[in-house]
Amino acid sequence: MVTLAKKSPEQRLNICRKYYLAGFLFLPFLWLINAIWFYKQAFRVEPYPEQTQIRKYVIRSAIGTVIWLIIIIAWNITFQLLRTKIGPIGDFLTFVIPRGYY
Amino acid sequence: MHSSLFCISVFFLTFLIVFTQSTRVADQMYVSFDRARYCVRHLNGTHEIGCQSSMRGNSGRMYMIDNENEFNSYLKDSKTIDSSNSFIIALNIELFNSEYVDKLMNRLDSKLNGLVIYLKSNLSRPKDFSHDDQCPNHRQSYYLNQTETVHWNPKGTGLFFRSFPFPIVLLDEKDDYERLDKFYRQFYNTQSSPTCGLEVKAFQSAAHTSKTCMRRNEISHSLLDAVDGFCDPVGGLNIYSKLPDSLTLVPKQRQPKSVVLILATTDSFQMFLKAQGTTGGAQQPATALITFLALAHVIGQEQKEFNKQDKEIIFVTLDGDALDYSASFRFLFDMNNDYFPAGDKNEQRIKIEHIHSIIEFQSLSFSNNLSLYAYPSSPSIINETFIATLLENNPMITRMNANSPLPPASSQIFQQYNTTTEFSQWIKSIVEPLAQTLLDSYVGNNITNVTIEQEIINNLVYCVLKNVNCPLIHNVSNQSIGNSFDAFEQTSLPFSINTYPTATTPTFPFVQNILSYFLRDREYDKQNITETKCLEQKNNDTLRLYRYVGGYAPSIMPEQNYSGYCVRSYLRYASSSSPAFSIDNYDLSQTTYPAWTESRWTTFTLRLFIIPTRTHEIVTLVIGILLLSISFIVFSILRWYVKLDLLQPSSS
Repeated sequence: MVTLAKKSPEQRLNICRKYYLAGFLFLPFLWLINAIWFYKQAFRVEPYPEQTQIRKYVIRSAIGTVIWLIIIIAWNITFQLLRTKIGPIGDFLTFVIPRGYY
Repeated sequence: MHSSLFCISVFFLTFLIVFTQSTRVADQMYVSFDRARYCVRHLNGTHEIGCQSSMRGNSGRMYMIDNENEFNSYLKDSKTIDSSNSFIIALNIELFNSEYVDKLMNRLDSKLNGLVIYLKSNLSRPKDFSHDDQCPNHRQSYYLNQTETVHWNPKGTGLFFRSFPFPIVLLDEKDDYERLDKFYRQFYNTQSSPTCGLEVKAFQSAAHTSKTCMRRNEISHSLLDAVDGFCDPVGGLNIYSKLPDSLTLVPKQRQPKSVVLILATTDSFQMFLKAQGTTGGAQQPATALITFLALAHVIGQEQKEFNKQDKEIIFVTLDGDALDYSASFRFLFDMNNDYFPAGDKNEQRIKIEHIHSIIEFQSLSFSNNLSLYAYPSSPSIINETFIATLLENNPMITRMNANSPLPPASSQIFQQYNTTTEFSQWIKSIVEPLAQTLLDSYVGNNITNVTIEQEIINNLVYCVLKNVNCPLIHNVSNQSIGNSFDAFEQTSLPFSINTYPTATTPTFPFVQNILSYFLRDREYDKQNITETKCLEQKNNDTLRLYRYVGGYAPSIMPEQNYSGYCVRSYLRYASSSSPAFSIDNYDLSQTTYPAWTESRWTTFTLRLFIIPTRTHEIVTLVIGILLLSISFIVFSILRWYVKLDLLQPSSS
């Protein structure tokens, strides 16, 4: 288990930045974890020079998470409502086709 | 100390296992009905019909309704209806029609979780049991722009074509009704006593329309290669056979109007089918098929005469006409696409212009009046001399007015016949004049009266109506095919809605072997050929079928008597599912061709159980919770006070 308290501030910044950058590869969970994990470091611990950077990354990760959440919820609702109404595409997009029901 | 304890416990355990009768608790809770028949879901291009249960089964409190009085009092009985959230009604078969079912559905609405139809005994079979429409196949009426809807099937309830949100089960075995009744009477007293409950599992995989379902059949996202289908197209095999020497081979040209088709159907309308065992539908095609096969035998007998003339008489069985004439559509489609006859290209194809006439056996009922419907594609074409000869030869037939509407395949009730000999004599009296007419019309010279051995018809009747695993089929087919009939011992030939090849039926090998045997080359009966030599012949002749069989004595001339015979015959068969399923990129929602499919299903079960009273349920729950807490307490006490090594978790 990685405990941030044992790492030096540069190492912490490094980890935070890596999570932030990797999240751009369509990995919103990394942003979510980043925001939650480094929240304490960014806002609750006494200031240290790298904290401003960490704070920047945490805020951006949080914004990214929210955007992804909106996209995913919107797609989920659209798919559930329109699955049967858009013709064959609905069936091709469905991973597990329901048995016995349309 | 430890070893003796060990020995004692081993001894005790063995004693328990050997001397107690281990049964599952579940077996003691449920009474299953294994021989029930279930309604399945069918789809066509635009709708779904049939019944559906939920995946885990539909259960509900059982209520039995035996007659109209009980039915009316049940509908008014709000107390009973309010006492439970879901009901499964056991309904007498007499009450199974749209009037009563609609009333029940209206009154119970979503509380109706299933219907179990029971037949009290074989003696009280209803006079009419048809769930086809009153004008069957009226969606595809092609006859001369016939606009009037005639109710050929006035007793048809049309229930087959409705979609029900619950499963419907038919119990037609006598002891099933008795068991059901016994349990019901035992537990049906007052509101507070335990009552019977029923659970029906009849989950259907298909949904919406054939188009959706067939599309879903193809889709599979799984990484394992298990494509489990949702539905299968309805269809079977169209089988045809003729005399093996009446072929038109390249380069000889086929003359127009030189082919006579004789048709019969091998399928029948069926609302309830069984999971295993035979699924027979209505017996109405049986008489037509028996007559058809008997006629084939007569033609085969007189083949010397028929070979003298140039008309080909082809015997064709169609499978799939019960639902919108799918098989006929397919037959015509094959003909238009150079696929009739199938197989070797050396034989000239047959097209519409080559057809001289079509004789169809349909809806033959055991009575003294037969109706003849002569249908010309245009009035001038009708062959009056043929009809005149036929009417002269067979006084039973009356000719219907040319303007009268034409009958579709009517679904008649199961024919109650008194003795087979009476019935088979009647068949003989139909077949002989018809064969005589064919002979007179096509061969010409006045041949003496043709006859068919009564024994042959008796055997056919026995095989088709009583026992498919009969000596006749074993005598006319080779060993391996004959053995495949052993599974159908003491069952009649099934006529049902087929989904070939997903579901197999003995009907096809039965018709193939008997038809081709009856029309075989009789010259081969006189030769004593060994099996190997017989099978070698097919290397030289790709147009005909050769097989080695035991031989059917009544059909063979008395002089020959060998241990085995080589059979030279002509046989072809082709899939009879609707052309809708074989045309590329055909949109199944179009109505050009019928597109019926049958849903896939896995298990069918019907079980009866007891629904306990409310107090019983509460007591069971409380005792269970008490036992749980007591066991926790006992164990913690044990752990606290008894520090045995066994109770410590081993740390390693």
